[in-house]
Amino acid sequence: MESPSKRLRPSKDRDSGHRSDADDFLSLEAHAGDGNGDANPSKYGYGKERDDNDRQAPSKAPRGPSAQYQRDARFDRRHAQDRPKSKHALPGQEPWVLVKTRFGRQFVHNTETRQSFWGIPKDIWPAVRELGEREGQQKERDDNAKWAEEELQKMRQQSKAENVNTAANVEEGRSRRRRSESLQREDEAAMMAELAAQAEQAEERDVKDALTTIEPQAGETGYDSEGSYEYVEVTDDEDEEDAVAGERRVEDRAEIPDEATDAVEGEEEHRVEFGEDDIAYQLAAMGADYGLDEGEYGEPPEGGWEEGAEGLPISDEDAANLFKDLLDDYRISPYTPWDRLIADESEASILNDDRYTVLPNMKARRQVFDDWARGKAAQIKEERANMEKRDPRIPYLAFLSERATPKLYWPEFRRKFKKESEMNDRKLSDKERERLYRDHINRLKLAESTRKADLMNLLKTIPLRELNNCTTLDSLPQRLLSHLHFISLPSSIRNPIINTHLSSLPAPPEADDLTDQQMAQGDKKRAEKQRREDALAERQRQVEAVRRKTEKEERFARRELLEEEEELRKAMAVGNKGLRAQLAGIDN
Amino acid sequence: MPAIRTAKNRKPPPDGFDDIEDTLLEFANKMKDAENASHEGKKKHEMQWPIFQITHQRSRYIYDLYYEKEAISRQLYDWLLKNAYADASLIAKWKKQGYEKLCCLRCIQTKETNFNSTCICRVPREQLKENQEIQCVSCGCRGCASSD
Repeated sequence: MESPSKRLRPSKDRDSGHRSDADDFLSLEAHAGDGNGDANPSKYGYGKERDDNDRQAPSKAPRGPSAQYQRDARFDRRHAQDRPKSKHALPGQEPWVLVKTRFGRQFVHNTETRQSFWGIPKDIWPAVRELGEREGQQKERDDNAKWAEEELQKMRQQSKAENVNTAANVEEGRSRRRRSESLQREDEAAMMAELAAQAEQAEERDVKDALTTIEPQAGETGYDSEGSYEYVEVTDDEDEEDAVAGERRVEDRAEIPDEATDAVEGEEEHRVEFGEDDIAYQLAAMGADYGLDEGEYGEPPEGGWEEGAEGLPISDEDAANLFKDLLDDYRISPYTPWDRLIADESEASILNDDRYTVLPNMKARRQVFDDWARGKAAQIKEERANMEKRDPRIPYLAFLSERATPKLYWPEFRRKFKKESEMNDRKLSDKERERLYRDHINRLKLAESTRKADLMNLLKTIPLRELNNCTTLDSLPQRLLSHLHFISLPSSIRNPIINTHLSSLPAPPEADDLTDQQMAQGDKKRAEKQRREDALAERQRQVEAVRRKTEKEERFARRELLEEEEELRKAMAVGNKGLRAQLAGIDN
Repeated sequence: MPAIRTAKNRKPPPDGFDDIEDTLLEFANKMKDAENASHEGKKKHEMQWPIFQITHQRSRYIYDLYYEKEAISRQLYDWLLKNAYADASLIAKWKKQGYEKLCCLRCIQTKETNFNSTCICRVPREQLKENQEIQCVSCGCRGCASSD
């Protein structure tokens, strides 16, 4: 198993000393002449093939980029995408600059004559090579510093985790610590020796190195602008002092090959093997940091977790209640359809809450939501039933007192404020609104003294139970607020009047502690009584009407009887003119 | 001559309409969008699918509110049916066993089909072939058998 602290990292060619011209700065001719193509994969990423081409091609073959593109079809695409990336001054060869492209190729350019060459001329060649070397060293130093810091981080974490782990497997932990401690000591010794040797050289180079350049990115094909690199196994376990030194460290194994290889081999024997145990216990330590139990991460071992490892269990009921809490907290309306709720993608959606996940599936969620909505709707209904019914005229009248002026007729006023919610309230009909407006405008035209008197009269009619010295301007009774006389005066005049009236009133009557329900009952009784009395009066009225009618009929009947009697009497009374004359008189 | 009802003299809807008004408005907007959607690249029968689907959703919403959640009053429910917010005959079917999830009335209209049968979407999934994906012609339903 590959130990995690081992690392494959690019390093400068070990034998760059004797291969002075084996750089990526070589012109194509140089590559062609260089037989070391395999060990030195070219900077283009397809160097081997190209090298072969070059070898076969006679020296008269066309040179330069365009010629290469003709030879190799793949060049076309690259040419289209490639462009200059960074420019480097060449010390000593002033008008010439070295230009690197996106794909890591480079050419020289003369800024005065505006000439460019892929092939680097002989006289500029030494300056280019020098620049390349310096860059290579710079990059390696940076890489090493970065890598050293990473290693240091890892070491710190590891040592911390080891400190935490005492209870679980003491024996194992102790032996491992002993191993790693001894290892660290050895590492330190080896590293110190190595660093001491390197530090001197590094300083010399640092003084020389004044040029700063932008490092071109290595392409995805794996080649580097530094050209060849070899994978060298570097194994280090550094401590803190090492890291401080390591920032300025230059690793050049070509110059101290023996030391380096010895150190590697020495470490190899005492290498810490990172087994599954180590990883498991590091995971456990991290879990402890986050306050998690073992079952909440990772996969269950064979035979399941030990008891309690999976965290506190959430029963179905708890899960459902949690979900209901979630719905309550987000102030979801119970009238919302479920589809819309879960289609909500916004930030404030319930989908982003952790409690959304306590229920295992969508079906369960839907069921709980339905339950919750049923309960919530019932609750809302109950609350509304208990709430005092608010007269719809009150907000409208408040609106009128602000906006109504005698300058506007009703149609104008309605058109002007048709967007206002008070003008669109469904509880109040348009006719009612119009009537109130017209009345209000007519009242505004009255003298102020009249309106004041009206308001006083209105205040006096309101019973003491509703209006008393405990009432404030914010808690005026509905009966007052819904009356036109109340808004006839502007509030600047109205409020002082009401305040003085309130202060003159006595305290609320004792009966005020009646609950609303009792009051409602009283109201009902009173209404009932009123209704009975009304019914009685109606009945009496009907009885009276019937009596009068019968009396009248009786009177008529009596008169008719009298008349008939009179006729009979006349008929019976025969005068001295004789019966004949009597009968003739009747006939006539 | 019947009385003309305008916004002026219309009776207000029953209590509780305010609670569901927004959702109904959303459905109305969706319906408008569906009505005005382009027919580009759609099959002839596919045009009407969204109409049926939105009608179904809206009816289901009102049905759930009244029968399942009991969140709206009888008056409001009747008023909604009267004002065609929900399809009363579809809801009538949902109350019958075997028709609890019925997608639309056309899918159970046997007289309009060649073999005097209901739509494919009424067939339970276990009677279909394995992994058979269906979508009915009349309303785009993918299966509305009660056992699904």
